[in-house]
Amino acid sequence: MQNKSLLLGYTFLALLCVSVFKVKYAVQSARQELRQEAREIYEISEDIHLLEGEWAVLTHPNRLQKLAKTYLKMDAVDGSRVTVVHLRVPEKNNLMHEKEEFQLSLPMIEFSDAAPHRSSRSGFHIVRALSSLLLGARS
Amino acid sequence: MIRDSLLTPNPLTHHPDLGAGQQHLSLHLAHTRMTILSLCFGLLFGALGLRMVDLSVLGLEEWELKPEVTLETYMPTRAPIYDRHHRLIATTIPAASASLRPHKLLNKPDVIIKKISKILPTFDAKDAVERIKEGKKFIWLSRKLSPSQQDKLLLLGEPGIGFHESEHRIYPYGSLFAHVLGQTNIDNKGISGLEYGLDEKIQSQEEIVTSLDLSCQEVITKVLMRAIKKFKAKAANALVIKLDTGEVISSVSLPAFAPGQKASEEGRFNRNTLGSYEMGSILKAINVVMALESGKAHLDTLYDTTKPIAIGRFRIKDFHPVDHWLSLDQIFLKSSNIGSIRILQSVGIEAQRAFFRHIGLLDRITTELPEVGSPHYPVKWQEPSCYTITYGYGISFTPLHFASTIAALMRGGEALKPTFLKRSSPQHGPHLIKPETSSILRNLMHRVVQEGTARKAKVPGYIISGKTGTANVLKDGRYVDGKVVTSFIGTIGSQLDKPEYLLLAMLDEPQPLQETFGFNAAGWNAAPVAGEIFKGIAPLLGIEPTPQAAGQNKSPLLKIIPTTFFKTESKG
Repeated sequence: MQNKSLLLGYTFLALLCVSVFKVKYAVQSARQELRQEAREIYEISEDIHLLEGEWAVLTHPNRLQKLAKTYLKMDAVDGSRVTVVHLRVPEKNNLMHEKEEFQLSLPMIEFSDAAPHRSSRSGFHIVRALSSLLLGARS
Repeated sequence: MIRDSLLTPNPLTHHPDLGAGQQHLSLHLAHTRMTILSLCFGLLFGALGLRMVDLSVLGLEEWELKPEVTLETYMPTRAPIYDRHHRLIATTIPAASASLRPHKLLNKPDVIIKKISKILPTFDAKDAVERIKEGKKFIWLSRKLSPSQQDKLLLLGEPGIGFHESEHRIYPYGSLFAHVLGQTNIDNKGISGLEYGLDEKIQSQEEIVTSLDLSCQEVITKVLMRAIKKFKAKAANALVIKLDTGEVISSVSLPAFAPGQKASEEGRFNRNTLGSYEMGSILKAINVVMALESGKAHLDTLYDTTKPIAIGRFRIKDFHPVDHWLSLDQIFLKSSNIGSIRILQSVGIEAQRAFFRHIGLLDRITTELPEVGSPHYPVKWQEPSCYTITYGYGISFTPLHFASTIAALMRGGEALKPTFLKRSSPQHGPHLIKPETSSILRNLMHRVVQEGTARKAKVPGYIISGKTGTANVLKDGRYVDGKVVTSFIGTIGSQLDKPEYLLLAMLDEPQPLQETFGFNAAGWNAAPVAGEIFKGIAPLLGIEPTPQAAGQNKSPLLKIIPTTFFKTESKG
């Protein structure tokens, strides 16, 4: 009986040792992982911060205007290219209230005659204008 | 063994002097104690063991680690600054600094200094050599290293070159916002502009969203730079205020400076908030409003403008003399100096001072910027200085101060406090003048643009109201002939009674040109510059053009949208 108790005790002790060992290394590994993740989070946030600055430099209006002019043959928009469209939306349209009239400003971008694929670009702008129209209707 | 030890009398409990009964009792007591103790330990270890098994085998994943490491993101010492559309206009980035400890150098200092000066173009090698000779033990090489420069310095392999982690304030748009944002010193403390005015907030990581619009700022800067070149002007400045909120959408002062670099005193000077200028004929707008508010004049009240007015040895004349009396509105449209003085004479000098004080023109305004100038006006408010005030001489204001006052008068008379920070809701204030007077002023200024001196500020498709002003430059107490400061102040909107933005544009000493027929008055330079600015910023600010402008559309694309896809009629 006493032998059995001792055996049980030893087994229990061995289990305990194994458990302690396992927990200790699990904790160490988790901490290591956590430190690694924390370092990565910090570095990524630092990178994001730097990239925000870089993005600001790259999107300088002057630079964008030069690029648009050189590669897309686009010019700045002036008032003569903007119009107000008054629309009456159909009654059955659930998106809009009955008889509601709304206004929409559509800034359009001027294309020089040398612009390639003029029609396709125009089409693109129509699609954009329509999507903003729908979004406007929802709001 | 164990059994033997158990049978052997325990020296602690077995005492030869005790009887057998007593020995048995004490042995029993010891057994009981041992059992209780064993049980306690057993329970304790059992519990610990079970918990261990629970943690390691059954529920390791659920175990919440109390982290020794805190999860932090990069947080610079100064918070970034954004424009009104949340575009980054000032930020702080980590950058290394490099220093030299000559006594730790492995090679000869001269050799190392030569190598360093090749890597760092701005490094002053001669100065460094002198310092080493003086026996200095620490020399800054650069307070702002680029990553490639840092790599090259590292590759020198010199233990005498040290690196220090530091931060640097950068402005991605260079000089574009220089006067408003200001700059920081080498220790990252704000020393001018918003960097100084909001230093505490910026250092406490509070996000700063300004009222400024990057695109408008760029457009206005370009227009003013072109104007300086064209009219050979000494300087130029402009600012745009949103009338309902009082936000300063754009503030450009040229010449400007690049933050972090050496700049001339003139370049650092913010003409919009610190400079104080005589505004010339623009002040006639205040004079007219004062007359209307006093109740002593109406638009059709006539004044004698036929003879010049003599004040001491001076004679006040008009540029375009007339031989008949002029009404109040004609005086404004023709910008008559004589008529303006006649208006004042009918109202009274004291009323004039009271009105100027009432609309806040005699008090210094405050904004988030520390560089704010004060108005200059006569200490003794009496003739003849109050006469010249009617047409903009003898009194000077900062452009921001004057623009915010005119903005208040143009937006129905409600007082307005300008701000460089974003405001999401309209700003309301006490009424400085009656809304009806404000409406008259808008109409008069609109007529000035339609048929008066500011015709060149007209932009098809937008309702523009404005007034030009030309003032001779005062130097050493005398007005210099031919040297003028010209200005235009006006509003833009899609409806006359609802102006949306106010613009004040000024040119310092523009020269007469052949194309301006030898004139250098505001109508020939400030007005067209204002027109160009309005043309550029109106689409960016989302101001709807009037229906008349629709006919001028060059692009046929816009007609497709309503007719093709939305040609529907309401049954109601």
